[in-house]
Amino acid sequence: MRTLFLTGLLWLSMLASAETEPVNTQLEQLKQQVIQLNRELFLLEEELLFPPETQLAVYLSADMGQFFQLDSVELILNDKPVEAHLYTTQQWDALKRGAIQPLFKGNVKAGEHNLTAVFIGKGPDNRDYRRAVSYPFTKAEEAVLLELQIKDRSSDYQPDFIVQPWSND
Amino acid sequence: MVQRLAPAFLLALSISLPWQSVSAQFENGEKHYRQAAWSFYLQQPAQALETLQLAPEQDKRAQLLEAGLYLQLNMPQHATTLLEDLLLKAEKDQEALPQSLRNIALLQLARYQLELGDKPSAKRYLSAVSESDKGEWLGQQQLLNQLVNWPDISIPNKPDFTLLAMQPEMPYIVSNQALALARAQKSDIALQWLAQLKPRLNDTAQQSFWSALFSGQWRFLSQPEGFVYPAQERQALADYIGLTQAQLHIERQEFAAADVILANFAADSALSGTALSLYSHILTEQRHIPALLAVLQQQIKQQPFSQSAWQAATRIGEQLERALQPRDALGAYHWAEQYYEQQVQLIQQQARPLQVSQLQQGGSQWQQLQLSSDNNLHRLQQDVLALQQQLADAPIRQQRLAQLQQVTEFKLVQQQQLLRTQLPQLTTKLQQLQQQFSQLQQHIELAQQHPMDLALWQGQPYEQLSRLEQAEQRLPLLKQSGRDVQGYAQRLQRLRSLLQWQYSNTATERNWQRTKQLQILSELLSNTEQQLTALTLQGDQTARLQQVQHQLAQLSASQQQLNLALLSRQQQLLAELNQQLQQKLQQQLAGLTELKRHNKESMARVMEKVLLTADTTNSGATL
Amino acid sequence: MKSSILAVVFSLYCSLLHAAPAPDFTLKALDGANLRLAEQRGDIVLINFWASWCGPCIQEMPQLDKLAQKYQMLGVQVWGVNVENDSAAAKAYLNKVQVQFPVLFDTDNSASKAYQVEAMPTTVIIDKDGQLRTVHRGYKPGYEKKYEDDIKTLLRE
Repeated sequence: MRTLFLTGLLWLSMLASAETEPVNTQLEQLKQQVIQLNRELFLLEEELLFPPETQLAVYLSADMGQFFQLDSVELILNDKPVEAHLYTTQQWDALKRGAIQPLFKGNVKAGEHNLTAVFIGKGPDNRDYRRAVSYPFTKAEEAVLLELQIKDRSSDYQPDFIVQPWSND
Repeated sequence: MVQRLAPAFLLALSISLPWQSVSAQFENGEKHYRQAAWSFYLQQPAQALETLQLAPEQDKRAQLLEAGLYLQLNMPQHATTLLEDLLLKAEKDQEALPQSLRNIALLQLARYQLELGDKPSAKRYLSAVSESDKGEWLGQQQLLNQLVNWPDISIPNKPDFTLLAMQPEMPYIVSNQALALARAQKSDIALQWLAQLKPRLNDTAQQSFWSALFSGQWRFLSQPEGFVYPAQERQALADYIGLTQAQLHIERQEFAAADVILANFAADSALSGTALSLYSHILTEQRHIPALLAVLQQQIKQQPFSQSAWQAATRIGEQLERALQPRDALGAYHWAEQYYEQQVQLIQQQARPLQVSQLQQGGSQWQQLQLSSDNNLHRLQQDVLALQQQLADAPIRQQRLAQLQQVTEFKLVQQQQLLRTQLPQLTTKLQQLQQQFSQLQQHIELAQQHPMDLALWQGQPYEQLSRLEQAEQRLPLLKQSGRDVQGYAQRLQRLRSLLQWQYSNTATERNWQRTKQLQILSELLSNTEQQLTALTLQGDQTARLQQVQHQLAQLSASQQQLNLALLSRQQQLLAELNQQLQQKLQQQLAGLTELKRHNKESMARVMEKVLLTADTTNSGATL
Repeated sequence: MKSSILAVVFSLYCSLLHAAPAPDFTLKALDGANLRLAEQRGDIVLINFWASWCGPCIQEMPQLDKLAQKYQMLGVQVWGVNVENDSAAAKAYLNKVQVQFPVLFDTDNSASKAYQVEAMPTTVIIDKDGQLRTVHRGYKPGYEKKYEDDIKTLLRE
């Protein structure tokens, strides 16, 4: 609220205090150090906790989302539930605007696996909707990155659920 | 300040995200950008920034988003560097940076330069902003132009209500223009404009969704109906305009008009203090004593610890004096004296040095007032609290580090086991097998050179051949003993030829079987060798793990250092804040002392009058 | 040596801090919507953990409803969180006794565990910055006054 009025005129008085700079510089530098620290930590975590030989990562995205409103998603890996997420309106909005959600990250052994994604929500006619998609895959040396895509299929006003693997980062 | 622009352009960036994915495969940068968007929409700018910065390459949109995130994190310098870099690249490349994005960058830079007090730079950036056909940034542009050129701002013939209809800055732009008009001795026109502006405040609620973010409230992002000016802000704007109108009326000596506005001014507005002061000013001019007394009392009640309240205290007595009520005036001055005492006590109590935790919860009433009314203090408070947030995150970072150290140690132990026991064992075994294999191969080769080597037979033919060979060996012995072995030898020869024939017939088949088995063995051996190599490679991770350990130790040390730096910085800022508060305290105490003295003088003066009147009455009575 | 001393000092310093961030959660409400605590930043949130078999919880409901209605316009939210694995009884109750504020269902007890809820009911109050400020365990008539006092204090910040 204060800042609101400073926009008008009183703000001009603030312009005089340019000696605030050195303090701000220090603060910013400290903040930047924190950011860098966090980044290094994250990279090390990736390497140690989720090395490519065992990494399985699942992401979620939505395209338009006119014909479907997402309520929740469950992930089942080889008949074992590994992740579940409830979506608020704000989160569904974010997805519709192009955001990609990092849904799950874990480790699996080399070999054959099966991932099932269960989508629960409301269809175009406001009816309850539940769809499961299975995706068998082989885990080798490289990380397995999968994107769950919810797409609008305009041909029949139904949503499509696709599992799209990513090529490596 | 600069923050307010940030959410707007961040949202505008998101609008430019492609609705249709062009191909099934995303570009790497795109993935990171969209993941960062997730954190951004969930109002976690730090997380979003982290994600964005992990992208291997960044396109211009991502760079702009990064700049915006830095602004959200209150790091304008980093943001500026990125924006300048972006503009520089755009200039060199001649590759059209989309106009809207370019304008966003320029406006942000202009605004930041203004904040630093560098008007020429701000002007430069502003002049480079192009008119986008949608005129989305017109409001920002005009307002910044006003601030940069104040007070020589451009004033159109009429307020540009139509042009600025969709701009949230419209009220500010028009009111600034009105003020400029007033300065140019055209206050009647100014008043007209303000009057036209006031009802239009509700108009600006009908905004396009994205420009609504100028309010700086991310929450409204997710509401499908779009932005509505929070009632608070609309009210505050109305108050501000009303106050400006009142000020103009006062300048024009139109006290009655000002009175109308000020008498009905809200008591809980941020501007109530100023309004009351103005009101008391005009009431003094107009000598509306009863109303003035009411206002003075209101000031004392509504604005504790403020200059206006303190001055009002002694003015009550003064006004009563003016109204020729010396007894009441004396009472008032007496009251004021006690009031000043009490205020001194109170602020001394409330002005104790602040701890960080107290800052979080605002501190005492007096402290809160100082923090909110002084720019420096406010900024110090914000900085201390920002550092506090960073410090609060430190234990989590520490935990992450500890976990990683544990995992690394565990893996190193695994490595050691692998290298020391498992690998050597397996290697030896493999070598043994390989040796046996090559021996076998040699043996076979040797035997193959022999036409009918016993070694290459098995089963029934093997028995037959061995019996034949045994018989053939007995032949020379028989010959020695003088027997006739001719027939015998012939028969053996025939047997041998038969066997030879059988041998040749079956040779290919047997060779083939043998070769297959050798091949299987060879494959098994090479598989095992591969597995061993793979394991050995894993074993080679020791070096990397040790490196990681070293890195973790360094990070741990940096973390400690950083915490210390944050802490010491915070202590420094806190000390400065408390010092400035103490200064304020001293100033205010001095002011109160002065007021007390002044009040005492007035009290003495009035006491004289009262005593004189009493004397006169007394003397009148006795006479 | 030096670093460990400083670490101790540092941790001491941290223990002096009053407020801790309230654990975030997302749960489904009675009307089917998913509500997440972290999205309420800027509002004061009073969370009441309850169960249908707990007498005082039922006793408390109308008081909470009144509180919710009174402070709704001032940026205060009241959330009920039902901690039963089977929500049938709770839903039946809510059908009869309708309240205006959102009631969420923590069927796998993830939220109640995060808030270390043992006594029934437990009421926690969270400030505008998402910090957990007060915890009230149990309910006796008159407790709602305490909640109101807490809310008023937080509103003034």
